[in-house]
Amino acid sequence: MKPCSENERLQAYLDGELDAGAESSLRRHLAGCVECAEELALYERVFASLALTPMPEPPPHLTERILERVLPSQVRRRWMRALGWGYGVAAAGSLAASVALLIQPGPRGWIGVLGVEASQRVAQATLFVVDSLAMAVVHMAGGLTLLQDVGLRLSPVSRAVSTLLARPGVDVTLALATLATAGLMVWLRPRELRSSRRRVSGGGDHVGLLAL
Amino acid sequence: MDQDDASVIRRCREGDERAYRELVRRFQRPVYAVAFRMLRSSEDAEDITQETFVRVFRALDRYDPTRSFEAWLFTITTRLGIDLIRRRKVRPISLTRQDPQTGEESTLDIEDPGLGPEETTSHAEEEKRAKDLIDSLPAHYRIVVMLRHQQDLSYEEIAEVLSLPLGTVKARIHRARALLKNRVGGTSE
Repeated sequence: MKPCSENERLQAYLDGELDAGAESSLRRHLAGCVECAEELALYERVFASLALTPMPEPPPHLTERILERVLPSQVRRRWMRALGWGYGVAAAGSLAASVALLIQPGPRGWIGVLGVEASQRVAQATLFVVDSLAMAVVHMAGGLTLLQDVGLRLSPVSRAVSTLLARPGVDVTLALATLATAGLMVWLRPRELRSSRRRVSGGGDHVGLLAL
Repeated sequence: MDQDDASVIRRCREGDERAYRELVRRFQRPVYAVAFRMLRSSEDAEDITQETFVRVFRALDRYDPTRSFEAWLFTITTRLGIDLIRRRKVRPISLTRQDPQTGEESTLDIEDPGLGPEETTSHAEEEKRAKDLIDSLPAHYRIVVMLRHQQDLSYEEIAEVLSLPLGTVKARIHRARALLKNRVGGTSE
């Protein structure tokens, strides 16, 4: 049997899309058409079911997961962490290359010569600067005996420091001490920073020593 | 758009992190719901929800406040969902069969013992039935019905979200409801 042609308008009626005239005409039709009335009842059940459909609840951790990716501070921190790792890897590579170079007999010789030369230059420059400063102060003081004495006493100290720096091996030791200090500072950074980051990342995310 | 939503979006543009949190809190549930209905996997829905917000915040400066924010949000969600379905070649269980020659769709008769009108059930059971009912639709019908009946989007907004002609959206929604009506009535075309 061919369905009633008014069937087509039932959904529009329930959507509230019919104008007043069309709506009242359909209502009159529904009063006399059993087929359309039954169809309308079924559609009403569909609409009721759809209204009942529960909206799936996102898991509780989703908010933090999203914010971890979108908050500007988190984005910056991620960039800094990546930079830190990059810097760390580059530094480790450079250190390894330097060590590898230093243990070779040839490079060790000329690196030693270069080191001595550089140390002497640095010592001379330091001495020159300290002397100049001391003389400038003496001149500014207008020949005050006390300042002259201070200047004269400073010169041997600066000479002693520069002589120490000029000795082979002292510069390498200082460089290694600087690296060791930097490593120690990274290791000693606040513990709560690590634990809070671990909490944010759900406990499974590894945080490197150089992460910022 | 809600004035409050507009204010939150404006604050987000100014870089206020509390506004970011607020925007996520307000919209993550509907976004997740749309993604979940499309993909029927909580893991995929979480990924899509996260990616939606990443893209939204990245493009927030380009957002036109005269347009519906929710429509824009769902546009991103549905595009990501469709991409994922294509990538994984997820084949949703369809209640319709398409004739390869005429292109006409006909309903498959699937037994549904839980939808007898005479049964009385608890609210939770009714909700489950309603969920099963919407889940039984093919993906392209499910998404339009979901946007219309759960997210209360207009036909025009749905057309915008899915980049479909208005007529196609209306036809899909009407056809989906007709399928559901047949299921509720226990008949098949």
